[in-house]
Amino acid sequence: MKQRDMTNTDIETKAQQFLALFADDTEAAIAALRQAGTKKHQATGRTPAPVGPVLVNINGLSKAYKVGKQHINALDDVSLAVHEGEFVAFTGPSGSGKSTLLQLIGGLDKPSRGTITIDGQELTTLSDRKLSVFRNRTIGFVFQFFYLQPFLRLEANLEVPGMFARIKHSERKTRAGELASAVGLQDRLRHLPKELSGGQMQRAAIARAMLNRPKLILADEPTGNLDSVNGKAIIDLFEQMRREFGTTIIIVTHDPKVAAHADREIVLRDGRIAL
Amino acid sequence: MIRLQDATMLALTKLRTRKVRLTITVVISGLLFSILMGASLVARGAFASIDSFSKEGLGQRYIVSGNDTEVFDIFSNKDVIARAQDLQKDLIARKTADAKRLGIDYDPANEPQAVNTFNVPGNSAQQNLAPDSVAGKQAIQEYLASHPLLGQSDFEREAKPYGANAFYISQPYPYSVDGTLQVLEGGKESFNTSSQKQHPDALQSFTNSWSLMSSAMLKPFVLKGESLDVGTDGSIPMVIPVSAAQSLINLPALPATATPAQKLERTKELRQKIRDFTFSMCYRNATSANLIEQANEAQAQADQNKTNKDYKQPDLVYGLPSQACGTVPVIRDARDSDQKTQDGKQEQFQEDFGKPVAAQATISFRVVGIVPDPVTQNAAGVNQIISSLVTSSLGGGWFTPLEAAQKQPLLSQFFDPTRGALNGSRPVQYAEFNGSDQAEQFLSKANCTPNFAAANNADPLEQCIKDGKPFTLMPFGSNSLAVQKIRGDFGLIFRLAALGVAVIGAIIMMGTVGRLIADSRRETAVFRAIGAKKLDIAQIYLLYTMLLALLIAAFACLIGVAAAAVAQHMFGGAFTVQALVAYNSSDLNQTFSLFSFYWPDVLYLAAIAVATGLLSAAFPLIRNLRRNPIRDMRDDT
Repeated sequence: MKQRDMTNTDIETKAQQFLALFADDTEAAIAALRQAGTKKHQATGRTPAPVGPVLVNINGLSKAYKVGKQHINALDDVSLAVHEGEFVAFTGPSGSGKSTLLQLIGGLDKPSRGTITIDGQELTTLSDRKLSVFRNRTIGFVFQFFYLQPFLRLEANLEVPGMFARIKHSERKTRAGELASAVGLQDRLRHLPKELSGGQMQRAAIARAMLNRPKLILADEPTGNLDSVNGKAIIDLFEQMRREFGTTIIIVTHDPKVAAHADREIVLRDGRIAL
Repeated sequence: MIRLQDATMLALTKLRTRKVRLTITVVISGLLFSILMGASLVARGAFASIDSFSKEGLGQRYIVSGNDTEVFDIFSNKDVIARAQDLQKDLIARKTADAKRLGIDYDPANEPQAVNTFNVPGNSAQQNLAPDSVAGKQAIQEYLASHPLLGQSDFEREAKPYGANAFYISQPYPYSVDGTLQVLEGGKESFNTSSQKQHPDALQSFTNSWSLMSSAMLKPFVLKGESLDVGTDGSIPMVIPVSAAQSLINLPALPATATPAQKLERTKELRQKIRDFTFSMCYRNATSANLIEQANEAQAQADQNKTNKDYKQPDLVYGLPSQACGTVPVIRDARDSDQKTQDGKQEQFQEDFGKPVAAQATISFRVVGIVPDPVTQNAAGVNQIISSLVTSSLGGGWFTPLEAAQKQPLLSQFFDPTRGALNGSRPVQYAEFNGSDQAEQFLSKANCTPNFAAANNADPLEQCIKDGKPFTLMPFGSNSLAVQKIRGDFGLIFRLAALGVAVIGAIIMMGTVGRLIADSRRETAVFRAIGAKKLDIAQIYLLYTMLLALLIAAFACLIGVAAAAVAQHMFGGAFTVQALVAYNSSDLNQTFSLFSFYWPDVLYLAAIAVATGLLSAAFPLIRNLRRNPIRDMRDDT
């Protein structure tokens, strides 16, 4: 949903939700908005992209691990909201908790505390089975190392999320073909992953993530294993997906250039959002 | 659950990983299962062939033989001994009176004893009946008249409640007759007993294993076109062992290394040549046999005194008959009339007290059938197996149909039951049942098992008699009961063995499947991330395991079929010949197959292989699904 299509009621609702994050502290909210906007503006030199209603709402999220006798707080009381159609980058040093945050958003792990609501669905209340279905329909994952099935041809690789969604073969085939064209791999459909370059594989992975037309793409270091040219192409592809399908994109990256392409960069440090 | 087609596609990708390990697993597990597969093919093939062959011979007939267990202790029976002694006194009194009447000498001291007394050191003297004495014989006959031996009616009473529908009998030759019985080889009679061969041939010694047998039991072994009836020439039909038939027509025994083709050829030749082979026997009663002895003695005396001028020939000299089984001629009679009268009185006296008039007769036989030789204990290896599987036999021996013998008074006399009882050659009873179950029931419930471990020299059969089980029972004629049992047991053993193999197979497969699942942790994590449910993952791996199991089953089938084909090639011929001979098959082109697909076994094996696979996959899969996908993605990156 694009900003211009939103009704006033929608905007009001979203504004209220945003304000709720700051416990009715309007001053703090305005300050936060300003800072975010300024930061973005400073980083990209662009005006912040228009955003839709909140798709991802994270509230008081903490994740603690026990390593031996030590408790490690990977995430500590993180709250944030990501809007539909937004392109957000999580950055921060290694161990800052950005990947943990991404995995929690993806429902791959359970938080120690706090809630994650995506598309109105509170993830922590879902059973493993429902969570799987939710991931399959709502989220598309893109990994640093692509993780394509080495013995499946590209076309079948793209279709895998559709298989888990029990989408008809013919429909999957059509979608895979369209997505392959969208990522410029239409003539590679009969190839095995080993016959593709790194950039092509990551494009394929993005196409795979898009097969079930998810609202949200979660990408963990998607350019981390690519050269700058291919990295740039991947970011352009995310942009294209957002443009064509209105997909919300959250990426975890170490690369400032990649982060600079995002609408918003959220920096994490020691498990907290560094404002 | 994802669509089967999709799950199969994803599972097939697993078969493309770790190919070396996969191949080793398929080969080792497949070989294990192939043993069972091969065993099934061979055994089921054998069973089917036995079914097909055993429509002839005594196959598929459920016959139980019964030997009565009654202890025949007549020789030391005090009542019989006392009676024999009384009869002996009476005999001596009568003989003394008769001798006096005839005016001839009679010394009771020369009368054969009816009871012999033995001094056993440390014990009191023991008495034993002399069964060949006149008084002993009579005492036995009287005893048997009041204490009849168990017979067919007793056996019928035992077997009928179990469903027996036909009864037969065999009566072994009691090894001796009153007189002599001699095979006329080349139609000639041999009078010189001392020149008889030390190792008589099959024909000369056939009476050692000669029996009368109900025709119904002999019928399956009769050669095509032959009959069990007394011939128009009076010849008695005879069914003889294969080895004897070979010997009669002067065919050397085949070497142990003979090929099945040679054996088959031999069978054809034997059947052709033995047909209507005839031979004769000469029976001389005791008196006639005694005259031959006298003739021989006279001849010997004459020979010894050829140069002795003083030698005076006896007044009465018997000569050897000029033709086989002829009467014994008197060749010199120089007795005066007094002597002749005296001799006549002596003769009369002896005849009055049981000595028969000299008589001899020729009995002719014709071979109408052949019966397989019994399985020899020293048959080894494959031959042993073949023989024990494929058997249709009367237990070896020469058989004359009981019905034909009854028409020949002389034969009936040879097979005197009293003499048989005294010699331990008691009749054997047979009962035939419709089904194996009835026969098995009869065997298990009515059989007397002698207790040879009975203490203090107790009668091993005492308990049997008490239990009212007077017969020792055994399956007879064919191994139909044994085969039936093997067939039943095979199914059970096959299934148990399959379970055993399944356990070993599961351990082998667990290595491969477990490794594969562990190797695929990252992929599982990725699939989980893109929306696979735990059930979807389980479906993929279980399908993979099933495909692996089917691959193993297919490999097992292939090897099993190859092994069975080899077995058929190596032993099929030997089985065929054994079966053709054993069942007296009329069609010599029949073949014994060691190869038959028995689908329930094949499906059972496939099912066990799949179950084995699923079992092997269960544990690693459960462990895998419990893992956190995040950790597995991290582990690999």
